Amino acid sequence: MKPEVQHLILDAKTGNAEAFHALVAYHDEKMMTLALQLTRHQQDAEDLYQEVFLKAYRYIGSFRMESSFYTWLYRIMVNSFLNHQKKEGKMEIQEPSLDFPDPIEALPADPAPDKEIANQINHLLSSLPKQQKTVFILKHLQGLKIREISEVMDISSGTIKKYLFRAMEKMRSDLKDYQFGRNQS
Amino acid sequence: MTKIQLKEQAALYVLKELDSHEISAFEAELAQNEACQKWVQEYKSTIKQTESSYSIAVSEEQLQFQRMSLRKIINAENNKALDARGSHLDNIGMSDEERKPVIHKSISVKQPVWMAIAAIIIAFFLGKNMTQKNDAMDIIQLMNRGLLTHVDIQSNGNNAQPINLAIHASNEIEYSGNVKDDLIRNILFYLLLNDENPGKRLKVIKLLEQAQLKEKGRNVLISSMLSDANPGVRLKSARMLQSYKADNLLIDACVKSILEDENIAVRLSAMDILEAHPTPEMIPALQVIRLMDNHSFIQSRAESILADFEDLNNGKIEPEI
Repeated sequence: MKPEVQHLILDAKTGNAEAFHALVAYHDEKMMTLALQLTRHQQDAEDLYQEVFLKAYRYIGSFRMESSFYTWLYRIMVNSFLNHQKKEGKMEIQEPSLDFPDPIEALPADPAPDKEIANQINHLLSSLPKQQKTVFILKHLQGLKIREISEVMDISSGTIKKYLFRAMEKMRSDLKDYQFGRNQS
Repeated sequence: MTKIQLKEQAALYVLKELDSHEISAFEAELAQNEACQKWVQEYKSTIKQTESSYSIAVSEEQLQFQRMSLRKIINAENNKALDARGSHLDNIGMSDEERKPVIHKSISVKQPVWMAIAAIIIAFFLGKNMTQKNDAMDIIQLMNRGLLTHVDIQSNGNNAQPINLAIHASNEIEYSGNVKDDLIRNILFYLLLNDENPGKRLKVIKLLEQAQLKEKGRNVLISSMLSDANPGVRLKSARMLQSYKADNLLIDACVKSILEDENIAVRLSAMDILEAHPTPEMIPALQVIRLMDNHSFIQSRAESILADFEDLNNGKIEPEI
């Protein structure tokens, strides 16, 4: 943890709201990205962002600085997201919203991914069980190590590996026809 | 190893989550197992496709908007907590009569209208004053943390009238005052030393020209003359320093500037300060400048000051220290 972040955390723990806002500015880009990746819905992602940082503000006094601040924020976000999914039961039927930017358009022109494959990937990820999807996103799109995901989700590394493997296998198997079928043809 | 176990190993191998022992064992298997090679290839391709299809760029504007919203929510929450605490305190040890809101007494319809208007006007100015005080506290905190950024200055160009500072740091704060106001001066000092925009630093130093700066201001100007990246700001600082009495600190700063500053105008301004306040302590530095400076005009000016000392000391260059 960088000394300036550590200093801000200590200040925020004493109730300094400005220090907390500085912490938000320091960490929120990754958190918003994760929120968008998890929800695939602009408004839901913004709500999740607000919820996470509000919880962080309320409970920063209980942050013991044993893990990184990112890990702590990730944990709050993942728990909030999974709780919402549990309550609403909408995980498996959630489709990307119309106001969400097309992932294809957000990418640089070269190399251009096949739109059909991208849609298929969206569909596949949305259809994964929520734990598998979360682990997959944290690993591949947020670049966390299995050990860190284990800390964030409070699940053993062995279980994380299993979730990850199942998600990857499902993706590999379903995308095989799209990717390799095309390449071969 | 079963097929499933091999597949799992292949996935973890692609994810770089195997330890060195497992990697060696798996690579030995990979070298001779075509199915394994195919899985590795397919896993790699899957990951690549997913990463490129799922990448998301979050704009700074979007984040700023979210930060502002969060700030409003947190402020509202804090205000609510303060109100709750206030009402709790109000209720301690007060009779029912005492608990009645005071405002009912002051703006009762039974009172003359002018009293009600006066109460509103007083409340307005008190409120304005309180807001100004709160903003001042916020500004001081932000400055202490080095977090005061994006400061817009609106000046009417007259030091008798307020300089309006509209400050947009991590929230919107406004503060008004003139250059004689301590906080305004401190904000200007802070901006002179910290703001990234050279145009703004120049504007700041022009505003500071209107103020009769004391000791602290002089030190800020010295710091600016020695360290500002913009030669215009350094030059302006050096020129403003000419109105100060040249003590050892200022002389040392001028010597340093003359010896090190790349800009000839800044060096000349520093030389003006030395020339206006000659002291025997600067003689060794002048001797160095006379020999070392790459500009003949500065060399000759150093020579000229040294000559004055020779005259004062009956042809001896050594100062009487």
